[in-house]
Amino acid sequence: MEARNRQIFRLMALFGALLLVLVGALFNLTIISRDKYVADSEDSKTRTLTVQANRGSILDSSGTPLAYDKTSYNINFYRDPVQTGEKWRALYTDVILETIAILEKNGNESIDTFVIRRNEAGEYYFYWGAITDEDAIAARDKLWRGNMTIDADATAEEAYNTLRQRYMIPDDLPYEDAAKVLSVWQEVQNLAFKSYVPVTVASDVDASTVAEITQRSDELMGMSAVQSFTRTYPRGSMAAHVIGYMGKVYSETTLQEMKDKGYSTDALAGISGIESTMEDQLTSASGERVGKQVVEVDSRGRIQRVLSSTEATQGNDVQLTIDSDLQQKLEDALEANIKSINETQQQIYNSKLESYKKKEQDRGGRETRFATSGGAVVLDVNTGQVLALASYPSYDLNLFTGGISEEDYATLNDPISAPLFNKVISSKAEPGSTFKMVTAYAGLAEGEITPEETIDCLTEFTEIVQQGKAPSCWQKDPSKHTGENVTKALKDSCNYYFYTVSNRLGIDKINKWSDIFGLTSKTGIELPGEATGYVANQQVLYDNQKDIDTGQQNSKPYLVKLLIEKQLRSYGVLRGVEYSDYQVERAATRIVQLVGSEQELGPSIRAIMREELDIPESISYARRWHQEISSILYEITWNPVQTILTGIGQSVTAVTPIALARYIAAIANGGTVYETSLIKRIIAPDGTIVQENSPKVVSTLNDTNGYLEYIREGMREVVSAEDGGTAASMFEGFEYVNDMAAKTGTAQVSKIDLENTAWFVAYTPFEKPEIAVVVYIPNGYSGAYAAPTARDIMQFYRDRQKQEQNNNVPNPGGLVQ
Amino acid sequence: MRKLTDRKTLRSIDWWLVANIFALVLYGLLSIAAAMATAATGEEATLADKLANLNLYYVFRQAIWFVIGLVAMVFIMSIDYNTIKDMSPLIYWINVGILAALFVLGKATNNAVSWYTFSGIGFQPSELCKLSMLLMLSRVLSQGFAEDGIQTFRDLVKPVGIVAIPFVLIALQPDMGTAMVIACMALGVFFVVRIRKKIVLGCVGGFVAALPLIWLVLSTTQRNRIRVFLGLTNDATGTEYNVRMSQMAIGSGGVAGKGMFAEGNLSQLDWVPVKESDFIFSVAGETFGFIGGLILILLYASLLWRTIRIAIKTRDRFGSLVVVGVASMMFAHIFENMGMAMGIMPVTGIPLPFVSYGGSSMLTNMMAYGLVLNIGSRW
Repeated sequence: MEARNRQIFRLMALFGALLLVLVGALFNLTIISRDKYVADSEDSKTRTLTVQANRGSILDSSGTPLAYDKTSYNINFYRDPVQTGEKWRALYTDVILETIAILEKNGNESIDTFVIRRNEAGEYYFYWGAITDEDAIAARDKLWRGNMTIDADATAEEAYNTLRQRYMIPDDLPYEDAAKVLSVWQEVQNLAFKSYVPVTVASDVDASTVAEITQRSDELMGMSAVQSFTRTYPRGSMAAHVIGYMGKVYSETTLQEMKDKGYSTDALAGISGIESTMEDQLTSASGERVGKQVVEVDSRGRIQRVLSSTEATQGNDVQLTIDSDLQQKLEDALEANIKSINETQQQIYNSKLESYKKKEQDRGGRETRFATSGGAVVLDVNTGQVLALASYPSYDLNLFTGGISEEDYATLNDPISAPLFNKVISSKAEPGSTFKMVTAYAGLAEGEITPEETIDCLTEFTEIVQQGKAPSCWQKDPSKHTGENVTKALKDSCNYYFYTVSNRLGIDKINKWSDIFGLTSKTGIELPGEATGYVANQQVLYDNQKDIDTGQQNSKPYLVKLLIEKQLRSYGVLRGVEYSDYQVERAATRIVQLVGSEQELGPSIRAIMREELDIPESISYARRWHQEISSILYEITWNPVQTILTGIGQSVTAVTPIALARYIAAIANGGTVYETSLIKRIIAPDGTIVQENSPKVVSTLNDTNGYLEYIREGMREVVSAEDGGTAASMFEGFEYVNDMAAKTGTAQVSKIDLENTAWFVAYTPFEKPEIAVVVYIPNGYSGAYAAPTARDIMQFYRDRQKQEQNNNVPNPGGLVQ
Repeated sequence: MRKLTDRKTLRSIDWWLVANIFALVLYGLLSIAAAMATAATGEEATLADKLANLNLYYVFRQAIWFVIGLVAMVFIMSIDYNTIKDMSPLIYWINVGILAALFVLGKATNNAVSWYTFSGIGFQPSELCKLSMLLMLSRVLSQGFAEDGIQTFRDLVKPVGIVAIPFVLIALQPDMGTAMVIACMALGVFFVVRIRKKIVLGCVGGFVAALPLIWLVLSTTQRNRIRVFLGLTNDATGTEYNVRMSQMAIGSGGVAGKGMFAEGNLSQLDWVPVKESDFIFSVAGETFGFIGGLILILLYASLLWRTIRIAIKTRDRFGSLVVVGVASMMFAHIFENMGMAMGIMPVTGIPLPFVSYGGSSMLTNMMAYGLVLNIGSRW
């Protein structure tokens, strides 16, 4: 007995000890770790809903909205997370069907993002949008199947049928209608982990839809009409490249930045234009501006109560420097100009059909390209503000609101016309004769020429090229180009004069002044995608510090390398040896890299041929192979011919229209190079000015000797009939022809003259300039042909100015000032 | 044997124990009420509103089960427990038979073939098995051996067999929780029986050696539960999540709990699953805090102590073994259930005696204490 009782006591003691363990655990949870659990428990049952106020508007220079958030109504669907059974699904499907019927009756559409589609043959397939990356597609597929509870190996058709059954879709409903309903269910499932957030069934619906749905809300369980915003662009395609559009962000880096700023994962942001660069100012979706509502939910996601809420803040308005009337006029003028050039080109082409066809054949059959696109920009010369920026063709920004359709997006991505590409800031081309003012000023400022010195044009510039074809002037009759001084040379656009000046200057000085004029740097315009231009020199032609295939500004080095490889192989044939591709490439690369180095070409080439290809130097010397090779290298070796070609705006120079515009502005305003700017000011919702922009000076010419006078005069004479300037004919009868200055530029791109790049630059008034205009038309045939755009816009600008002055005339009885 | 209504018997009944049971049941009713109340919304809810939010449906059902249990308890108390002792083989084998037949006839619920439905009310034979096994085992151990108790391995065969049969049948359902309770009961009983040290060591060694075999026999669910408990795998079935929510609920209760009418009660918001039965302790912790939890533990400690006291006082060997077995059964339930709610034991479906919502458990426990009080008042 005693023993047993002792055992029983021991048992009780054991129980007691273990109970203490329980007490200890309880103590740990409730006392020691209490705060942690309280915090955790708060987190697990609270959720945050966000609400946005409207995004800031984009205004033109007079305050008229070019982009704004229009109040609109969406139809939202909220499925109670507790109501998941079969009878509920059938009920909700009916509600969805009825809602779609109401929408369509009133001319609205429901949002259809259902991923299972059917082609004309009746086959079902998955469509994941315009992504091509296989891994991305697989990831989306997996995610979708997870959300929709579909087997990993179910085909599209099987999945479709499963879903039809699951959501109790009536058997007689055709695919098109079933897809719309399933699209809503799909979005419900995608948001299942945030089931307190409703799904948008339709956006920006008519008032009649809103009325009907609200009226029938009792039977349309889960549906409601909620206020929202639709981004609206009242001017459609006007200034599209400046304003930009919004959309979903796909780039990983941008998404991460947005996340850091507190955006929600499916937020829209500006993708192009000012919408993009001024996103931070305009947005109402960033963490600090968005309104938050903290709610308590139960384990199924049902909202129990609201714990706190903060109000949403509106975005700031951005006022641009764009003058809408001027902008519209510029776009119309540019379009008309391009179309008329195109017609003229067709006529010329047809009238000399045979000769053009032959040229096409000679180059492998590539068809002649006519003018189909172009860009034009108007700057305020005294501030660098952009008054108008046109890129043709343009596109309607409203297409992007609510997500652009595939067909529309395909049209916009057409590689030939490239409507989305901003030709004013992203295109680069040889400036041709519009560059000559740089050479002129450089020559004067460096003392290589005086304003009075005259040169007679001898057509062929033989000073540096004794044999072979020398660079020549376009004017084949020397008698027309006698006694050229700087002013006359600009009026006549005499190449010979500028060859002379360039030759005296040397490429380094030409580069120096190009830099000062801002042609080789970005202009600072507040748009994404601005390209940086470059003016020719050895590095631009061939940079031996960078990779031949991928690191060069043009393709000549690569072509030269191929030619050398071919040449080396032929040597191998002569010697009865077949070199491996690797050997030949290595040798050619090393040879090409000699250009721009200090080494003597001849011996170095021989040494390389010996080292890489085992060709004894005695042989290569005897057969003059090193000379053959170095003559191929000549193409990418900087030489005086390239220098003088650069002086007339050719060689491998390429600049953007916007950079050209601000250099013309610098000439017009007396020598100050400004940053270009599209933004006048930023205004908070309550009207206070957050930021007021002022002009930024980049560099000054410091023209203490007044050289610009001569250049300006030369440009004035370009359009003057009395002086017979190159563009005089285009300005016959122009009211303001005596109060403006201009320059034409034509750059050759191929052997077919119709394909020349056309440039026309101008400014007005002449004495106290206000605006500078640059017109750029690829395949525009001749610079003068691009003049009509400039003429039309200057006409408009000056007429309007006159009218305003007339309106401000004081009444006759008033005091004379 | 004296009749129940005999005054001496009535005076010998351990009324403290009865009171203890009542206290536990009351605590349980309060916890169930707290668990099933609709979450209070809005700051302006008056007491009347809050009272109205209490869903007393479950509380009523539990109370009814308690009353039925009381009747059963009184019934058992009035029978001569020697009669019970004589009937134990019969009871035992019938129970085993019903268990075996489960595989053929039973309606499966929640992955375990353990319930019979009888006009809408679930009925678990395994619950009853605990008692029938205990009775049989106690009978065998008290009758078949002399003072020296178990001397050889052969002596062990019959007692272990008595435990093994229901253990295996229940484990195959699979209901490892109840099977382990049966094992604990048996261990508790064996603990107080004289066994030669050599035998004990041999058994322990044998058990350790058999561990790999045991692992093989476990089902995937059970293996996963153990893996998750040991922190070896990430939880795929959500059990870890349940425990985490339970710990959060208890922990956030703090010293004195959130009170019965608090807003934002995790359990009320259904974040803790099976809150009214398996995880009722989570509700208690969140609502009544450390103090409330401590009170519960003390109530159980007191219950165990009074039970053990009876075991010591009883001169009858059969009686004391039965009482020890009941105490072990109680303890196993208490430790496993509270332990799993706090994350220190793996998750099983073992309910908290007298507190968890559930008729089978209430009935079994009441009957067990019928036996205990019976033995305790007749020594």
